[in-house]
Formats: sequence, C-alpha cells, structure tokens
Amino acid sequence: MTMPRTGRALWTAVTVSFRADRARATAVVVLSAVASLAGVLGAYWLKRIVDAAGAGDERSALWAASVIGVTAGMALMLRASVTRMQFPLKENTGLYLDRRLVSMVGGIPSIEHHERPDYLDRLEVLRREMPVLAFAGVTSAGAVALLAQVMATALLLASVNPWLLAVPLFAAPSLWAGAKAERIRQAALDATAERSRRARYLFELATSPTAGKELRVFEAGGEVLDRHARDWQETDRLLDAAAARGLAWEAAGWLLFSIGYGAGIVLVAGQAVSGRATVGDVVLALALVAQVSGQVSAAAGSVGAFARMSTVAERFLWLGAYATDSQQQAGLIVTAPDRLTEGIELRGVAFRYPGTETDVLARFDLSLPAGATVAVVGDNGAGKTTLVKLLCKFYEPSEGAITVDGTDLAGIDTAEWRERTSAGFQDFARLELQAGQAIGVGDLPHLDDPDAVATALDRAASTDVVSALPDGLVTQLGASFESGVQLSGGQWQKLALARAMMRPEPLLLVLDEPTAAVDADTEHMLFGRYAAMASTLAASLGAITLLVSHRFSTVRMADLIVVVEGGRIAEAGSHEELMTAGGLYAELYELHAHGYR
Amino acid sequence: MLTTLRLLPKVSKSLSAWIGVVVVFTAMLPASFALASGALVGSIDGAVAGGWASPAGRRLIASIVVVIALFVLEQLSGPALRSVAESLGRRLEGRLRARVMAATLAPAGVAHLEDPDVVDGVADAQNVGTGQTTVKDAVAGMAVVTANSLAGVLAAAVLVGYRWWVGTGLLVAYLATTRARADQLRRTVAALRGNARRFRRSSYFRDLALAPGAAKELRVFGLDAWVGDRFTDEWNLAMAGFWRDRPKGRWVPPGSALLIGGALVVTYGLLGRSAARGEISLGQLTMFVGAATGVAAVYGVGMDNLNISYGTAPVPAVLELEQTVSETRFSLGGTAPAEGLPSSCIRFERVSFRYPGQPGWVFRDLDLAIPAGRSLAIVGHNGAGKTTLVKLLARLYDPTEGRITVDGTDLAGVDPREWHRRLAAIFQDFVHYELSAADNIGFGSVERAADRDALAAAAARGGAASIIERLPAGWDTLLSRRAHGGVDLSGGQWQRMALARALFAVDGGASVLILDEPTAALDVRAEAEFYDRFLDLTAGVTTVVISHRFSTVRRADHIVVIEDGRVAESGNHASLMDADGRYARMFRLQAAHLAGAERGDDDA
Repeated sequence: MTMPRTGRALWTAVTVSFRADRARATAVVVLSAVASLAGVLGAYWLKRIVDAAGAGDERSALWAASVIGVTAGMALMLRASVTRMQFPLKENTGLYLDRRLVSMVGGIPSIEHHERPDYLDRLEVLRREMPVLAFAGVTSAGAVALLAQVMATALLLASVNPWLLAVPLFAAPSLWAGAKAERIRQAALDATAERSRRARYLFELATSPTAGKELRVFEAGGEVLDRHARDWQETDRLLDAAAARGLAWEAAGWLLFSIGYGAGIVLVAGQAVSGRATVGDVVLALALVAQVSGQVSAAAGSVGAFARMSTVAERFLWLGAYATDSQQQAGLIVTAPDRLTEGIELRGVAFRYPGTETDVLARFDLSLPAGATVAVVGDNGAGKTTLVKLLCKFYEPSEGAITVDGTDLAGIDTAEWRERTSAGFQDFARLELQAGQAIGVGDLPHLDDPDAVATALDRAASTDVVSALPDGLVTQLGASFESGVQLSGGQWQKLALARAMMRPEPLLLVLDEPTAAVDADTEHMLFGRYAAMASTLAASLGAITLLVSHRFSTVRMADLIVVVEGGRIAEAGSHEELMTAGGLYAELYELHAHGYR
Repeated sequence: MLTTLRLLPKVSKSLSAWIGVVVVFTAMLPASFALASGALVGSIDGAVAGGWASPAGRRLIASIVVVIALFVLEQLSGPALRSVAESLGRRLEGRLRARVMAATLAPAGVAHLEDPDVVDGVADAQNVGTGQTTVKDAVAGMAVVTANSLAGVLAAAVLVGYRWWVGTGLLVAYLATTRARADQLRRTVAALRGNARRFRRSSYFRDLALAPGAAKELRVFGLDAWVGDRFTDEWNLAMAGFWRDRPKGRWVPPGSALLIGGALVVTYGLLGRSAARGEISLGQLTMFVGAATGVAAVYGVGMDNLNISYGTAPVPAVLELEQTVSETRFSLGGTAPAEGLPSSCIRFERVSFRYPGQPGWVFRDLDLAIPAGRSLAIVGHNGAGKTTLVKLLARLYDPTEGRITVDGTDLAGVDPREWHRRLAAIFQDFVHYELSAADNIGFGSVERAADRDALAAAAARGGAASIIERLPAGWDTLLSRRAHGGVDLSGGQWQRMALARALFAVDGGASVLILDEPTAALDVRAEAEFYDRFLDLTAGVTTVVISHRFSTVRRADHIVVIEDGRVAESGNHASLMDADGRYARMFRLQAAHLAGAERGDDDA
C-alpha cells in the first residue's frame, strides 16, 4: 500500500474537526477570523486619531478612540469564547478520530498490520501523533484568521501607497528560510528518532512492574538510568545544534525582510516630508509593516503545522484505505456451511509473510477430515502457527487454496467463518474485564449468560479459577484497575481456554499450545473433556479440532497427527502408524517420553 | 509553574542566566520602539519645513535607522529566546523523566509498582516530554510570557510619562483581566489531574483494539464492534464526569471586556484630545499611543499561556511520586551483608503473605527448607502461589507474617540490594529487552557485559549460541521489531536468551538461581536438551525451579508440592513416587500417556 497524496491528506486534516463537531468547528473558525481583524482595524483607527489630533479635531479623535476601545473589548470576548470552545472541539475531534481508528483497525480481518514491521511502525506513529489531528480545527481556524488579517493589512497598505504592497514580497526569503529551518529541525528529529524511542523504551522498562522484578534481581536499574541519560543528552546535543542552524537561517531571512521594511518606512516618511502623506499615514505604515512581520512568522508556523497535520492524515488515510482494501473479498462470497461433511483441504498451499522473501509454508497438501481431531507437531519455527493463522483466515495463502467442503475458504464470508471458529492461543490475551465477560466474549450473544459461561469453564476444566475469585464472575481482573484481582499466568491461560469453549457450535476449534502454562491436573481433565466435546461436535456437525502441541501425551490421542518440518509436511498418520514408520515423529516422541523415564 | 521555575537553575545555571538576559533585552524593545517611532514622527514637521538636510531631517534619518534596527532586533530576539528556552526545557524534561525512573527504581521491592497511587503518578509523569504539550513548551512559554509581561509593564512606564494614572490604570485593567483568566485556566488544568484514572477504562479498550496483544482473539471472536462500543461508552462516561467537574465560568467575563474597552477609550481619548489641543506634540502622541498599545502584552492570550498550564501540570506529579515512593510501606529494610549467602539453607518459617490491597492470603504459615547448593523443584496447581513464593525468596516483597531465614539470619535484616546480587532469575514473564542481543544476556551482570567471551559462554550454556550466530548483525542486532534493522525472536528463542541471561548472572557470582517455568515456550528438542543438562547447569548453585513439566521437575534434588498455601508433600522423585501421593498421581498423568504404550511404565 502506498501513501495517499498530500492534497487529499491536507483536505482530510482540515475537515476532520468539521466532521467531528460541525457547529463548534464553524464557530471557532468564524469567530477567530473576526477577532483577528481587531489588530489591523486598531492600526487604522490610530491613524485616524493622529490625523484628527493633527487637525485639532477633538471630536473625531474621541470617536476614533471609542471605536478602538469597543473593538478591543469585543475581540477580547470573541477570543475568550474561541478558547472556551477549543477544549470540547479538541476532545470531540479526538473521540471521532479514536473511534475511526478503533473501527478501522478492528475491521481489518487480517493481522498483517500487527506483524509487519513497516506497518507496525506507521500504526505506532499514528497512535502517538493523533493529537496533532485533534488540534486540526484550531490550527485551521488560525490559518483562516491569518488569511483575513493578511487581506485587511494589504488593503490598508495599498491605501497609504500601492508600492507598500511590495513589502510583503520581501517576506518571501523569510518564509523560505523559515521552512528551511523547520526542515533542519525535522531532520534532526528524524535523526534522533531511534534514540528517543530507545529513551522512551528505557523509561517504560524502569517503570513497569514486569521488568521491575528482573531489573532488581540483576541490579540493572542503574544501567537503564545511565543509558537513558546518555540517549537524552546526545539527543539534546543534536537538537540544540539543529536549532542553532535553523535560527541562523531565520535570522538571515529577517535581515532581508528588514530591507523591505526599511524601504517601506523611508518611502512613507519621504511622502510625508514632501507633503503627500499625513503624519497619521506614517503611524499607520509603522504599525502595519510591523504587523506584516508578525503575519510572516505566523504563516511560517502555520505551514509547519499543516505539514505535520497532513503527514499524520496521510497515515490515517493509508490505514483507512488499507482497512477497506483488506475487507474486500474478491469474487463470489458464499456463506459458511452449517456442518462439515468432507472436511478442510489444503492443496499446494504456500505462504510467505507479506514483505518477506522466504516461504514459511511450501507445497502443503493436507486434508483435515470432517469430525477429526488433528494434532500438529514440529520444532519451533516449523510453520505450525502459520498454519493456524491461515485456517483462521488471518492471512490468505500466497499460492494454492484451502477448501472447506470443496468451497474455497477465501470465498467464504470472513465474519461468518469466524462465527463458526473458536480458538485458544499460546499468546492468549489477558482481558482485564470482569471475569464473566473475559470468558463470555468468546461468544458475544451469550456474553452475560452465567450458564453458558459456567459450561465453558467446565469444558475448560477451569471452574476453580473463578470460584477462587472474591466476587466470582463479576470480579474485576487485572492490575490496571483499582481492586482488580491479579491472576497467575496459568490462571489467565485457563480463562483463555474457557473463552475458546464458549461457542456452542464451532466447525473448527483451534488450540495452539493451549496448556503451556497449565498444571498437570487441569491438562489431564481438559483432554478428557474436550475429547468428549470434540466427539459430540464431530458427530453432530462434523467439527474439526486442530491441536498444536509439544506435549505428546495429548498429541497421541489425535485421530491424525501431522508432523511439520521446515514449512513442509514431513509425515502424517495415526500415532501407531507414525511410531512404526520410525521417522521424525518417533524421534520426537522418544525424546519427550525419555524425560519421563 | 513556580515549581517548574525553581527547577530550572538546577538544570543549567548558565542557560537560565542567559534566558534571563535575553528576556530583559527582548522586553525593552517594544518600549524603545515606541520612543523611536515618537522621535521619527516628531521630526517630520521639522523635516517638511527644512528638508532632509536640516537638523530635523537628520533627526528623522537617525530615528528611521533606529526604528529599523529595533525592528530587526525584535525579529531576532523572539526566536532566539524561544530557542534557548526550549533547549533548557528539553534538558528539564530529561531530568524529570530520569527522576521518575530513579524514583520507581529506588525501592528494593516491587510493591510500589502495583500501588494505584504510584501507577497513576507514573502515568501522569509519563506525559513529561511525550504528551502534545511538554515541559519544553512550557519553559519556552514561560520565557516568552515573562518577556511579554515585562514589555507591557515597561510600555506602561512610558505611558506614565503622559499621566501617571493613565499608565497605571491601563496596566491594572489588563492585569485584573489576566488574573481572572489565569484562575480559570488553572482550574481547567487542575480538572485534568486524575484524568489518567478517569480515562483508564476507555484507554484500555482503545489499546485493546489497536495493540497486537489481543488481535487474534478479537478477530476470531468477532469482538471489534463490541470493543469499539465499549470504548465509546467508557469515554462518554469519563467525559461526562470530566465536563461536570470542569469549571463553568466564562474565560473573560463581560465585566473584564468592559473594563479593558473602557480603559482604552479613556486612554486614547485623552491622548487624542491632548494632542488636538496642542498639549502634547504629534511625536509624543505617537509615542504614547504606541506605548498604550504595547501595554496589552501583559495580557496573555496565545498558546504560550496554555502551554505553561498544560506543560507544567505533570511536574508536581513527579515530585509527589518521589514522595509516595519513599513512604515506609514500600521500603525494605536491612543492612547485614549478604556475601557468601546462602551456605547451608534458606528457610521459610511460618510465612504468611497477601499482596498489598488484595483480600485473600496466598500462603498461611508456610514452612519450607531450600538447601544451599542443591536444586529444589516446586510443583502445584495454577494459582497455588508458586510464583509468589519466588518473589518472596527474591525479596521483592517481605512476608506479611513469619520470616525467611538464610543460614539462620532473618532475610529482613539483610541488605536487599546485596541479596539481589546473590540472585539470578528467569521469571515466568521474563523481559524481552528491545535492546541488542548482547544486552539481553549482559543485563544479567552489567559489570561484565562488555566481555563478549563471557557472554558467548553463557549463551552456549543457555542454548542461545545458535540464535546469536544467525542474527544479521550478531551480538549487536537489536531484538525489536520496532527498531530499524531489528529482529524479533520466537517465544522459544526468547526463553533461551532469558536462560542465558540468568546463567550469565550465575557466572557473575550469583549463587541462587530461580527458574520459573523455564521451558514453557521450548519445543521438544530444546526442552529435552534443557533437562538433560539440568544437573550440569545447576551444579553447586542453589536452584529453585517451578515447572508443570515433570520431565524437568524429576531431575531436581528435592521436590515439594504446594497445595492450599502449604507444603503438602516433599522428597525426591523416587521417594515421592514411592509415597504414591499427589506428586506420583500428577507425574503419572503426564507420563502414562507417553511411556506406557511402547516401553512399559517404568516410573516407579
């Protein structure tokens, strides 16, 4: 996926606040613009005071003074209400963006964005920089106000002497120098990004409870502190140097602008000396030309802010397009079958992770018969987990096809397929919800159904975890929340298993190393119970249970055992067949059994 | 804001002094500009009469030159001031973050890391230097606002030259309004405190949806919409509370606007009238009008004021965090040296423990002996407290009741840091350091971390040598998917790195080795390799191993079964199998399926 165009990104950035909170965004823009004119108008009325005074006209002078006072007072009120509205506008924009982000990421059926380093990077930057977009409404309002100011200033300048309109032209080098300085600073930020990230990481390390244990036992806390200090100092040094260089460019730009400024002043003063301009005109010119310089700084800042906004918006759009793209299923979409009669077939399946070169799976032919319990064994990195990911439709095969009762899995509606799939993973989630919900989310329609949850707990041999909790199913879990109860690693895994047992009628149940952290008793009970459940589901639905495990006590009970090696199927068959064959399986089995002799 | 200000000289005296100088210099420019433009306008009439060559004309030229020079200086001093102040601010950020880290690392135990007050404090303090508005912005804002305010006061001083009460009156009108506004801002920012707590639930659901941890399950169970809705609900709930607590008043009450508007009408009106009557010259009028306009600088409106309030908000949180963490409830005492410990035995004597703030006891009256120089395996059900036991042994917590003795000395009397030096550990949730491969092992004993040969030896013993060999940049490869050119390892590979780290610590002199589920992520081959070498790896080291894998457990010199917070059985593999109790039953559960069919059950 390539990044979208800057123009579109900019448009997205500018309009995002309007989409989030139209009324406030509009009010902020309009009121800022009106309020910003007060300064320019003030300069004009000052000229009127001076001219009136010069003419000895007390009435006009007083009148002009009143206008200034009233304008200033009103501008003050306007700016204050803008400030007040900025907060909810920013908050609502933030919510809008977060909601979009959550729904975009959540809607991506694949997990590629969580596993591909470059995508992961973009996503992380997006998460961190999102507040820049939340400010978009305020930034845009500032730009509109600036534009209004510039136009009003230009009008007044022209009224004194059209040549004065040339003064803003001298601002061009200054603007350019400003942009150059910004680029220098940005380059320094990029150059120090890796260091800053490491410093942030070291900070997290020092303050996290998990790392806290190790850092103490190994007495490595001091080292973490030292490295943080070094990284920070080096970053400081580089950023300071860049700031100094940027400043030099800006100074050069301002020197050029001051030529224009000086010329303008001389021009008007000359006019006044030769009687072609009033003293008030000189006062006006002095004030206006000074305002131009303020506007130039503001414009330079505004350009920088918009550049940052559009960078973030580019990433946002990229993610949106990626999410939409990944949801598009090619070809005819068919519904998931009610039950399996033949089973799941993998034909000539090859897979390599997007953005990588090597095949993780190659020439993979495998049939998982309806109603079977299939165990997959092999060394770490053999491709077992990848197989699981393909069956869960987290990825599509790079070559070949997976068929379900003869229908291509790619053509089956992903959401429907997922509704008929259940899974427990080795890297299970520790859902810090109420205990009942942490299990119930395994089958949303029965989220708050205590009976369904109890059944699932029973199937997973995990009832003891919940009965040990102070408030049973309504106990808040996890350290993130006050009064949240902490569980051990094994207890968390048991809850994840119960979650996997929530679906009443899965066609495919995937258990990827489901018992790595679970005690021997639970493991044993679990096998007994899910064997029973698997056979019931097999009989009624032709459901398939796919089990990835290093524990041969479990593996040997499977109807079919598939041995994976280097992304290929090394052998397949029943326990007895494979033991007789004396291949890799027999070797691993012996190795494992040896430990118990 | 004052708290932050006081910290600045401590960060850098010279930079702070520089900023002071630039602030004063910058502040003087607007008033000088008013004086110069007064002189410029004042010379015009004379120049009209006498031309450029007349004395008035030369005064005009001179004042034009001065005006231009002041203009240039004004353009330069603003950015320079901001730049210097940002530099100082960035340094302060680094210092504050280091203080948070030092504070959280200070206690020898870990109880504080799970204390809600500390967790909130860290969350607040984390915003130092990472939030949208940082301390750096606040320091820059403070410099700019100070310069502006001073400039406004100086402008008022010029106006005092017209009529003392006009200058003072205008200044007071602005200051009164500024004060009301600053109060409002302070209350708004104060309402933000505690927001970390308020928004924790909604942030949790947001992160759940965005972070990789739960990605697979969210998809399999179709939870995306549910999580999204929960996020919105929790956000709305938190926001409703926030909006309720946020101060309601107006930012600028109509009274203030009237006050300033009125003061301006009076000031300009009086000036205009005086000039019209010839009481002051047009040059003086220009000067005073310029000064009157300049007084507005004391009225803070821009982003800088917001930046000060928001950017300095986390600073008190940092200081409070240092306070909270230093409370006695988090400190572990003891001064006795730990050198040479343990030489005979570590004993748990009627130890009872419950986590601070948690209702249930993990243990009641636990008695346990860990002989020095031997290996002890602990088995038990999930949640039996095995990991907690290890945390007590590592003195990350002290027992709630009872005591732990090492060679007869109460561990509570031993210097906790010295005791830590005696230990090496793989915890169940061991750390995947997103640092170099060398660091991942070297962190076991940082003093010797530069010694590549020693690292290689530990890697070889931990089964990690082949991992290092295959890394693209060898020892220097960053083990992080997020880092440029970094590589992520598989679960089993990480576990071997962690083992190598612990063994490196043993090489460095640690004599107690804690292994909490050291093989959970290993494949069959690596696991077999591990337990085959278990005796070799642990020879002469006091080893405590926790495992559900009996292939490892059985190799320990001594085995205890923990149940209901007590030791239910103890012995070695043979004696426990003979006793035919819980251990024997659990062992057979795992072994029966395996060994029985082919070779006959020879576990007895």
